[in-house]
Amino acid sequence: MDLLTTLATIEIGILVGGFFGIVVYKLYSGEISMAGLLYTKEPGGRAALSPVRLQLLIFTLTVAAHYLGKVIANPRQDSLPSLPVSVVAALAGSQAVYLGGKVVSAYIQPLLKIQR
Amino acid sequence: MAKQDWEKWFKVLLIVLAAAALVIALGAVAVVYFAVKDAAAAADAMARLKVVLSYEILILTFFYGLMVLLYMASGKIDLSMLLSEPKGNDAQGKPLYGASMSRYQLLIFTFVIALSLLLIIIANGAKKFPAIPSEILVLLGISASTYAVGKGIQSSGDGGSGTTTTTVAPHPAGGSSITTVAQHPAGGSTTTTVAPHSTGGTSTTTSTVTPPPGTGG
Repeated sequence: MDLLTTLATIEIGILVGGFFGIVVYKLYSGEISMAGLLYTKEPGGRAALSPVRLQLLIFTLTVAAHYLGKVIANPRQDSLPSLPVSVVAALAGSQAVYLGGKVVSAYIQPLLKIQR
Repeated sequence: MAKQDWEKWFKVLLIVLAAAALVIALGAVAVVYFAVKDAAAAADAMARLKVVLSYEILILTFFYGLMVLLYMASGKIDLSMLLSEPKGNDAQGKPLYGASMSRYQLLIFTFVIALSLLLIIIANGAKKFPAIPSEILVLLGISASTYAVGKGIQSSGDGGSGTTTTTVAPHPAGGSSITTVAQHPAGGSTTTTVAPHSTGGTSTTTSTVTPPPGTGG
């Protein structure tokens, strides 16, 4: 059974690593487009830098990097490391702000445009 | 090697692998069937069958995963729109796409948690599956919900991104013709032309509706 466990670990490593590698390569080469990630379309059709998207990007990358760093620093654990509830709540808030911005640009701005 | 040769070779490989998996499964059943002679042998046979099936499942899962990986790498599974979402239309009515933050954050968190899990399993010698704290499940839930809600807002809203263009041009029969092109937010357009009648007097109105892409007309 030890051989089976080792093989299963190698298999999962190859598959997860492969998926990760392909996505990262395609992001790097531009095959997966990241154009407009931080931009939103304004009522006039003009693209503008969106602070709402920027804050979500910063929160996401910070939490993800912090978490991965925690795992790399001490991988010999019985469970995945936990995150403080305050961090999860902050991230939830950040995502709520992003969704709020999306609602404004999808529903509120068109209404204002019609009223003008 | 030409792309067609590669695809042909790959299809043959897949058939060979599928046939090999079938042969292994039938072989395992045959071994168990012929090995059973008494109760002790039956228990031993069951234990062996479990091991054989475990290897079988491992091999099948690996090749299914490998197929998906190879198709992703070769571009047969198109990942170019992995992070894209519709962002209105251009002047010609073609849909515009841009990268989506909700998709991006979901991708990041999925990979981070998956890689962390893998790292911990490897570091512990794959003795047992690590426990997953509730905060991490909540984090993944929030991330996936943001993606789902964002997609809902995107598809139901976006009412203001349509544009209307009106053109007034001289008509050969005299007078002017007025053409209005309304680009719909979901794609497609409606073109309305009002022109004087060729024999004079009454004007004619022509409307052309182009359905949004992907609606099958």
